[in-house]
Amino acid sequence: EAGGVVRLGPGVRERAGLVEVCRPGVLQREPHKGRWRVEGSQKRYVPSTGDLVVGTITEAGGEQFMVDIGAAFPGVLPTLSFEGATKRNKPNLKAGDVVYTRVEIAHPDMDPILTCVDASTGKAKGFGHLKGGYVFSCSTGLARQLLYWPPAPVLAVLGEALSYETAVGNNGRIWVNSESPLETILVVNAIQNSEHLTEEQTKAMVSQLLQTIEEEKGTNEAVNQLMVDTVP
Amino acid sequence: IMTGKREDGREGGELRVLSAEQMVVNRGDGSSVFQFGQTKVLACVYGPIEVAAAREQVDACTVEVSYDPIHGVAGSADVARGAMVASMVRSAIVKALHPRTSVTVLIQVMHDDGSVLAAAINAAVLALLDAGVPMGSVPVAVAAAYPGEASQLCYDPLASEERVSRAVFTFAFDLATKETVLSDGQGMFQQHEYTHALQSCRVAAQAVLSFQKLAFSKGRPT
Repeated sequence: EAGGVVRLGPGVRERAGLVEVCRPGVLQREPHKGRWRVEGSQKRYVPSTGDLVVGTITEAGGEQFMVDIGAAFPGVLPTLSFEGATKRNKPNLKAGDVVYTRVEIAHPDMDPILTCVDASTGKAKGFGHLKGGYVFSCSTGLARQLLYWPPAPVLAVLGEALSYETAVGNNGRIWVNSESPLETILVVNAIQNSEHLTEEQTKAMVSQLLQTIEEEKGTNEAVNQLMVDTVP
Repeated sequence: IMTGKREDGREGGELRVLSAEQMVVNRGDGSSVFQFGQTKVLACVYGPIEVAAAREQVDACTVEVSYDPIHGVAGSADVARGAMVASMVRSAIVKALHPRTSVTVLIQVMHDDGSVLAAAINAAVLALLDAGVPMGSVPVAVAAAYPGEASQLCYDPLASEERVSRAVFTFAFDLATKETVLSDGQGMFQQHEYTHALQSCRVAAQAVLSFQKLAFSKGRPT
């Protein structure tokens, strides 16, 4: 914009009056005239303000939780940054619990500050403790694909066949929960396989995985029946 | 530039077949293999990650590079090459963006058939890009030599050519700004021969850069 302000996000920097790209990827602008950023796909996560992240609590202190989000430094999640939390009513979380949070402040010189409330409404809006389930790692590029709306083909196709829930973090961590461990593993495998597949390939891959689960279920039922028959 | 055929049938101004692949190693945040013909070097990058307090810098990332030969312990020549790659990588990475962290580059020579330092630099750069470490420039390296008593240059020397050369050069360039970021000359040469080698390698580096771009972007979304 003429005489306007250019806001720089991850992957773009200012040097000697020029704006330069400093990592490989696709140059994009955040919606609503946001920051310019370069989006590539990496294994290592670098926190950025506004990211949604899946983290594991490593320390539960009086004033804050320390959360491992896969970055160089742990995230700091204040105990009051939860819906309805007060000094007398703090969330009942401990080390090892998985949480879905938003990066409120990310700055190179400090640990990232996380929050479990939506900034404008003060409500939880899906953030908070993720109970049960399973967390696995993926690239930041795949995580971003899975966060788009309409849903990525793999999530849509899985949803037609199974009922499951998932929380995707920009930090390349994904939490999955479903009715049985077998189905959870199937969802995890399907998501991991889907990174470079087209929509048709994804459908074929998911139906192949679903077939193996049917065979597995059939085997389990046969084993269960055998045990029922043999145990006096 | 040398005329006539070389040992492997190449012309003087011809590079060997270039080959590169990223994400080759399960561990590490980025990795790459780079080849000039049979010369093959693997680079693996970790970072930006937490660093021990003793090596922490409050305003910059701590960049560490290790260089390992095919077998045995690194000798003096390997340590020298490692130091050259380290100083070049340190200037290419934007260290100020990740203070109090470290980036480690591990270089492993897999086969040395000449021009190994240039291959190591190209592998390290591709691995850093693969890891998404912020870079202020993309250095590209190329080697050249004056074989025997000849006064004509040949690019990308084989190990057998390096052994009989009176001078072997490795240069790395930031082709965006046309700056020379690394210059290593071993042997005996006149000043005009150095200048000739530098200018010729800058031209050859363009071809290597085009290859790097192709090799890196293959399979990645655009």
